[in-house]
Formats: sequence, C-alpha cells, structure tokens
Amino acid sequence: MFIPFHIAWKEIRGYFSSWIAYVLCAGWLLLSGLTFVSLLGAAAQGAPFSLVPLYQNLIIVFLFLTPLLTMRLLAEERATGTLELLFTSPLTPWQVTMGKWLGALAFCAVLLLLTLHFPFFVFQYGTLDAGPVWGSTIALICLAAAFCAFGVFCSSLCDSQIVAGFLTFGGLLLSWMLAWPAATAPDNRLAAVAAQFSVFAHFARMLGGAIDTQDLIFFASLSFFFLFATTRVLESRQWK
Amino acid sequence: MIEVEGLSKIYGASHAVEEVSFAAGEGEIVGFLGPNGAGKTTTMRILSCFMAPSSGSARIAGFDILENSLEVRRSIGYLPENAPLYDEMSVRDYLNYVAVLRGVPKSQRAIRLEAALDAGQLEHRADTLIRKLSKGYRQRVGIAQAIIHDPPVLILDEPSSGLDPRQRAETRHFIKSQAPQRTVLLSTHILPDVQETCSRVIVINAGRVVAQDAVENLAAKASGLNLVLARPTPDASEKLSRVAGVSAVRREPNGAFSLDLTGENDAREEIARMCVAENWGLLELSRRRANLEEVFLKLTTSD
Repeated sequence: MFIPFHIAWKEIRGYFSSWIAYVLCAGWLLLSGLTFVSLLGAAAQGAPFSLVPLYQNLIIVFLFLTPLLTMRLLAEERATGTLELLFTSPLTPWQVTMGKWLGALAFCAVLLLLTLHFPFFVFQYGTLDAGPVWGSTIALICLAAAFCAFGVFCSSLCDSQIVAGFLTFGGLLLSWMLAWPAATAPDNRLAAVAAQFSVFAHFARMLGGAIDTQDLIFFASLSFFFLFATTRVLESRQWK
Repeated sequence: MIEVEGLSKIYGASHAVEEVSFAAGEGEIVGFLGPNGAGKTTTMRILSCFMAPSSGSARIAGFDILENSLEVRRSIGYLPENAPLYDEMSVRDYLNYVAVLRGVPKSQRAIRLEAALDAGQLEHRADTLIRKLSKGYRQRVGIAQAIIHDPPVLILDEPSSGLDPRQRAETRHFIKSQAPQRTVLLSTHILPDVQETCSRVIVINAGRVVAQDAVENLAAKASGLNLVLARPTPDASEKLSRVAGVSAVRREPNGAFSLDLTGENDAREEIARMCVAENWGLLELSRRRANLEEVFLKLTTSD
C-alpha cells in the first residue's frame, strides 16, 4: 500500500482511539439533526422544502471542527519528538504531508457519510431534488480538502497544538469574512477581488448544484498551495 | 561503514559542531563521548539525515547523507535521546507502523516484527498501549524500532539514560550482541557503558573531536608516574622532562613529582637510573593508571 495511506490510516485510528472522534461525531449529528428538524418544521408551515440550508449550516460546523481535527497532526509530532522518527525514515516531506492531510480528510468524509440519512428520509417520504444534494456533497468535500490543507499547514508551523488550532480557526474565519465587503458594496472592485479569495463565496455557488470548473480549480489549487507550503516548512527544518 | 569528514553545524554565531571527522568500520561499536551540549546529538541528527550540516560531508554504508539521503535512512536504525513513541498505539501496532515507514516489504514484516519484539524482550507486552509502559520498557520499544528494518548501522543517542542498573546492564548486553552484524555508534556519558561495550571511543568537547582511540590506549595515554624524592635539586623538573617518554612534569610539595607519559615507552628504568646518578634520594616511584573517567575529565575540561 501507498505510504501516505498508511500514515492516513494511523491518523484515523488515532482519532478513534481518543475521545475526539466520538465527541466530534456526536456534535456533528446533533447540530445537523437539529437543523434538519427545523427545516422540516419550516416546511410544515408551508415554506418550500430544500436541503440546501442544512449544508449551509454544516459549513459553520466545519469552521469549528477543522482546527480540532488538524491542530495535532504535525504540532504533536514536533512536540513529542516523533517527527524525528518520520524524518529519519526513508520518507519524503510529500508523503508525510499527504498522509496527514488524507487522514483528516477521510475523517471529514466519515462525517459526511453520517449525514446521508437526511436525503434518504426526504427521498423516502417526499420528493428529493438530487442536484443540490450532489452539489452540496461535492462542495463540502472540496471545502474540507481546502480546510484540512490549511489546518495541516498551520500545524506544521509550531509545536503547540493550541496555537496551531487558533491559527487555523483565525485563517478560516478570515476567509469567510473576505466575502462580506462584496455583499455590502457590490460596486467596489477591491471587495470583488477579496470575495474571489473567499472560500465561502465559491462554496455558496456550488451549493445550488451548479458545479463550475472555476470553483473546482479554486479549491484544488488552494489545497495544493497549502500542502506544498507544508512540505516546504517540513524541509526547512533540516536547515535550522 | 560510517565516514565523517569535516562536519560542521553553525547556529548563528555559535558552532554546535566544528570540523568533526571520524570513521567507523564494519561491525565496530564506537562510543561517542562528551559532556552535555558538546555536539553529540547534533552530530547524530546530521548522520541520521534529520538535519543538514552547514559544511562537510558524511557517508553511511557508502551513501552520501545529502545526495542519497533516502538510501542513508534505509541503512540506519536511529534511536533519538527521547524514544519517538506514539502513546496511543500498542507496542505491536507501533512497531508494525515503523516497519512500514522504514520500507520493510509486507512479506517480511511479520518476521521482522517478531525479531524486534524479541530483541527488546517485549513479547509479553506486545499488546500493551505504549502510554502504559514504564520508562525502561519505553526505551526497549525505542531500541526495537531502531532495528525493525535490520539496518547495517545503528545510531543510539544515550540509550541507557534514565534506566536502572539492571536495565542498563541489559542495554549493554543488547549493544554488545549487535557487534558482528551491525556497526554501532553509541553516544553516552555513562563511562562504564563505554568501557564495557565499545571497541573505540571518540571524545567530543565543545563541538570538536578532542581524542579518538581504543579505550585502553586512551587510558594509557593519560596514565603517568608518581615520583617522591628526598633531596630534589631545583633543576630536577627540567632534567626529568628531558627523559624520553615523559611529556610533562609537575612539581608538587614535599619532594613529590607527577609525570605525564606519552605512552610510547616505559620511562621508569631511565628515571630510576637518573635519580641514583643525581643522588636525589629516590623514595617512591609508582605507576598511576588513569581510568576512563579521569581521561574524560582531562579531555573535556578546558583550562
């Protein structure tokens, strides 16, 4: 098996051998369940039913959850000295970075699997508009990929998990806020440029079910950029 | 197996390691000795490719540490000062994971795992979580991970620090048992460990190699003579220092002299003859055998 998969598998087992996986899954199910129930309540009042607001809410959950998932990935290795094990083994920085990223991303995929019963219920007891469900699922995976890449990068910078977590959270929050000026000042060019860099603007477009290559490339390049930056940080360790 | 040439590591203005050169042949156990902060760990980290040197080069098993870093890492087993362990894994899972990282083929993994468990005497703890192991057992897991891929070179950074005397003896026994198949570079400041296990010692102080030789030669070089005379003349020191084989003479109170020898020939006969000829009244002439501790202190104390 490909080395990054082994590293990713070790990370996933790590999540599930501590409380973090169970707490995150429980929180995730509770929040998504509450949102779903309130959507059903709104539909009972006569509003048109759509699952899109559910996925819109999940992005906020991701904002809080990603730092918790990624903060320990490399910072802990640095703090406990196991980074020495990784880099005295015949591994390249890419293998290590990819392994860590895939581990966090796979956990996000598990969380997404846990929300599959919502569209299933809708399909069973009503009419399901499949487009937005597919669009939102792909959008959430893209979003998780970019968030995790940023989280891995922040985790590679320091040996304190708390600092790595805050860095990740701050960065993601900032990326959300980049879309705000464009909403209040639609004519401002700078605001429009800033909005292009906001993960959430791209995410919102995909939610509706319209998958544009522009958005896919945005998420892919964002993920690649931070993974590449992580490998550079890891390599620079050698020269310090 | 290990060839190091002019290795330096500079941090800003300070030299952690300066122009370090040494070599270790196949199957040799070499002790790397020095006070804390002398540059032992830095040198070992460079050899294990964790850090890059500022200048100089090193080859391990024929591979250059900068040009063939992956090959070098495949050829060494490295135990850092603090064993690099994942607390949440069991011993077996951990060793299996390390085997994967070190590139042990799947078909050999089970065999290597058993061999590593055996070498660390860990069979009965294989399914215990590492978090629950005592310091001694953690160190054994560290040793087991270093040999899991059957490397020709072992680099051990203070493998017996923090262990009790029995565990230290076991570690020494383990290191000695590696000798024919593997080259071992062992850093420590526990001198009896060196005396018992190493065929050769490299002494490093303030980033520089200050001595490298077989343990007994080092001790011989630092040994000397004690001489007590009843009527030494004022020029006695000078005359004694001219005897072949004497490198230094120190005059002490009450007619006592302390002589350092170069180690090449025994100067005792010539000194006795001189004492009689000069009528100094020879009261005592004895050999002073230095132990490794004295050699170590002498080499690493700068005055």
